[in-house]
Amino acid sequence: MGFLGGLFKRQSPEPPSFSAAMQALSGATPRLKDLETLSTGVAGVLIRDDGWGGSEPLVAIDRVLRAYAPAQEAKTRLETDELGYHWVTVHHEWFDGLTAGVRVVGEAFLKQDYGERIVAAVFPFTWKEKKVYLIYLPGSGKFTPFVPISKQDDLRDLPLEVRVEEALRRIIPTERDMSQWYPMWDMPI
Amino acid sequence: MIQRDIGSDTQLNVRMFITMLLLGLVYAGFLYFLFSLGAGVYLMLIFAIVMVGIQFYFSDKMILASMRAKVVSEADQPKLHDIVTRLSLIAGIQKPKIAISEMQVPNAFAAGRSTNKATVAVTTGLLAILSDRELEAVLAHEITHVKNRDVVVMTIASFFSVVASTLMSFFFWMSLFGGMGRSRNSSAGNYIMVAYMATIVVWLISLLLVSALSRYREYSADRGAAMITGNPNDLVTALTRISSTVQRVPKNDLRKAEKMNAFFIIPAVGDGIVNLFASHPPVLKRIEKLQQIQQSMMGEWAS
Repeated sequence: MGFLGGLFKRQSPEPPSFSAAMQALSGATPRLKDLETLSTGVAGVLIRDDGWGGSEPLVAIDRVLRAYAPAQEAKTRLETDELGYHWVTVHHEWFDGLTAGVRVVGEAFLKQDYGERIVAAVFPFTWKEKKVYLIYLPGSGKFTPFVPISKQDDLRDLPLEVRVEEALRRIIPTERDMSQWYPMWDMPI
Repeated sequence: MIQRDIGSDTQLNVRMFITMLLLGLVYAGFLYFLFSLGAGVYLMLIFAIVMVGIQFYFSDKMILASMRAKVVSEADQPKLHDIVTRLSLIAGIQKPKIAISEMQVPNAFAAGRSTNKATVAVTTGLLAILSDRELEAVLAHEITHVKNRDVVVMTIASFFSVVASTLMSFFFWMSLFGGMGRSRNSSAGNYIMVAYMATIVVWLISLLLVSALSRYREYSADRGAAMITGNPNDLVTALTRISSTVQRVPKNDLRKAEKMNAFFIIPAVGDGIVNLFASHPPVLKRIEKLQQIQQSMMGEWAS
């Protein structure tokens, strides 16, 4: 943004919906292929444990999925991580199928007014033996990159994260404010 | 060793020129306003000139002292001296003095009013986290600041900002204590109030323009560093490493942060206003520009 652009900066538009963001990500397939960034065939929707009104969260999540995301092409599984968060993992060998699967899961929660239970949707990729994560945050409607190196040393490959964001920003809504690039260690995907 | 022309960015030069022009206009208007005010103001002007003079002549010593930086000899820091000697030769300037500040925060800066009296300083935190090539890129950035005489440019540019802030406090106390005789009647009081408001406006505008100019000088120094080292990517990795170390990138796991609701707090005001008064451009913007330079360099070398 130029000098005058900074002075007359417009209000940010509404963040894109969960479905629109997933569709945009699906559209990034050729770019990811160009960058030799390969899908691992799995993605995860991160769900918070609280706010299920006394119901057993896993049972409630399962009920949501059964009612609103019936037999779809992608396979889903439920897991709980060390921090007590639940993951709906989606499996599909094609990236398009994976984004469609995550979209259906997201819509299932939104249709039953459980949209706010979704913390993030995470897509792992491999690039030259490195694991590259794209983390979608429904709160901001944007994707953030995460390339872990070592949890013990709290090390991440930030230069690569910057390049990932730069390469994808014209295709998907990416978060350019680095203070929002949260890490996520020990994900079950 | 070949002296390398660090070139220039036309768009950047145009922006700097426009900013300087706008600054000139603001200052000319302000001067006219000051003259119309009459006696008393001259004293404040002299005071401001003395202040800026002190800043100009002693800024290097003041900065080095405030950063607790000590000049190091070649025997103490042979590697640093070797890098700076090489970079100065390429940039075509006299080798500046080198100082080290015992601070954990990774940082580097250039001080001194002329290329012959310059000092480049790095913190121990910076030396600890950067590779040799990244350190070279950061030092090349500081050497470009020296070559571009940025300390002088910024001191001159901020002159009226200093004048305005001095006058601001002057008018504030005048309005508070009834204007030392002259403002005891209400019209003189109003007169001082208008002067106070005008000074605030001038101060804000000049601060805005000086900050913009400072950001352009930073881009220019980044460009210079890229040309001197021939590898913009080294500065990109240095910048990302520094910015992550100063905890711009959060360390907290998303799930822990989410529990504190921290990551839902998306700044409502946005970065726009903050960026307008920032002396440095956002790291991502700088990286973007460096990547453009890298691409154009690759194009040049490929042809």
